[in-house]
Amino acid sequence: MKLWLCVGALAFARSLCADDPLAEFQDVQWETYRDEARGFTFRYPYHWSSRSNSQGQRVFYDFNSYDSRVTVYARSRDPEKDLVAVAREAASQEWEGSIVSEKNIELDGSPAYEVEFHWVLPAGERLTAVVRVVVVEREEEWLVFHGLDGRASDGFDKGAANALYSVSFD
Amino acid sequence: MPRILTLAICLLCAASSQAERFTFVALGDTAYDAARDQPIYEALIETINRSEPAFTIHVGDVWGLNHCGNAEIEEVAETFRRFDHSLVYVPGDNEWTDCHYRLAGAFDPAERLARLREAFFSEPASLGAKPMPLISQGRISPYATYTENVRWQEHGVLFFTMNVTGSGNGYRYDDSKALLEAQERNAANVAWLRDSFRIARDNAYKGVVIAVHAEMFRGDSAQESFRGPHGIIVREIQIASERYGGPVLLVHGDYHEFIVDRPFIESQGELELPRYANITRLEVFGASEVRAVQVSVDTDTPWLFGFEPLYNE
Repeated sequence: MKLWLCVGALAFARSLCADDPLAEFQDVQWETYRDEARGFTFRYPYHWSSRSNSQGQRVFYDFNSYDSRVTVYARSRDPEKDLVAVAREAASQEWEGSIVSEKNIELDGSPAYEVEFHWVLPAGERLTAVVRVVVVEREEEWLVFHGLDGRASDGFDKGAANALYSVSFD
Repeated sequence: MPRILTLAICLLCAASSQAERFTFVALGDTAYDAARDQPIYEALIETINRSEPAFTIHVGDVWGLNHCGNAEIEEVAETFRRFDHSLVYVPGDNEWTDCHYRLAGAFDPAERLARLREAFFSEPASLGAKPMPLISQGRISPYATYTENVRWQEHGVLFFTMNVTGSGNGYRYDDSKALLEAQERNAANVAWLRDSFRIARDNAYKGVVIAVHAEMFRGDSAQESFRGPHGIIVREIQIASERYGGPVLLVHGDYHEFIVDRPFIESQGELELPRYANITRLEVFGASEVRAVQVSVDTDTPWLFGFEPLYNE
């Protein structure tokens, strides 16, 4: 009797596994980063790496080129500043350059502001970098997604561009 | 109530049996000199059979610089039938990539690969006397051509193969058709690798075993492995393994030296654990040493894998 019960239990267990996970294919192009403390997820190109920098910001970067990266960090809300000012500040970081476009957007239901800025780096007059920053307004802080494309050719890096708008809140 | 208790105990028994040890055998680069090596190879298969592995993986190069004809493929199929258990085969360069050489018959390598697929990968099952079901990339993904890329699981360990060969992975820079084939195959391999590691992470597999033919670490430095025809595969293995975090075993042949090491490891000094320490590489013996390696897998240990040479005097 016990033997038959065992056989039955095993058959039942096998039937539960009828949907073999090995038989399902997904074309994996993205890796997901989850910030537990702030309750959001963010996706970045699969072949990129991720690390924390010395300022505690999370940097996502193209391992093969180092030219493209997205840095994610939070700033406490300052009553004397608005979303536009914070986004412009985050984009320029006091470098020489100019804003080429800016607009209000919405990310996963939260108000946000996008700034594209062309840095002129001091290393050389002809060396430029395109910065695209998206700042999302949350209840107690601003969440900054700072994208950098150091190649500055053929449009803004597609991987970084996709990552910038990928935030999803709990 | 007693029945429910019995059922629960039975299920526990079934679960605990999942944690038992098993072994598999890996070999490759077999019988280059048919007259000399084939009897040794056949005796080795007998020894492998007696060791009762869960399955055997042949990582390619079923002959040396040999004529790549259909008759030779049929002889290999005959030899494969001597394995009295399941045999998973990964194509090596000698049986397709290198078949363009005059001595090999001046074949079109892509045509030879197609022939190998007909001979060995027409069904989603292993070879050997007791075929086991396999999941084939060609049957479940948009990469329909790549029937030789397969995966399966044993006791909570995920196994998958990729068609990555020696001889520059088929990148012949004087042949645009070969280049295109190699590029497309690498894209399929990358997709298969990413998806297999996704499954391993999502379903908490206890370990991952990757089987390819090619030796990919022959450069003067670790960084060199990230360049060239195998670079993308090396990099993808590194990324996926680090994110997965569990024990990863890479099994390959191609250079005929029995090696167990950790080719990806990166020291972080004496106070921090090294990076990529979870990736172990097994390079199997190869001609003229017609030998195999028995890999023991114990899912109750953190290191998971143990290695023992397997051969006759």
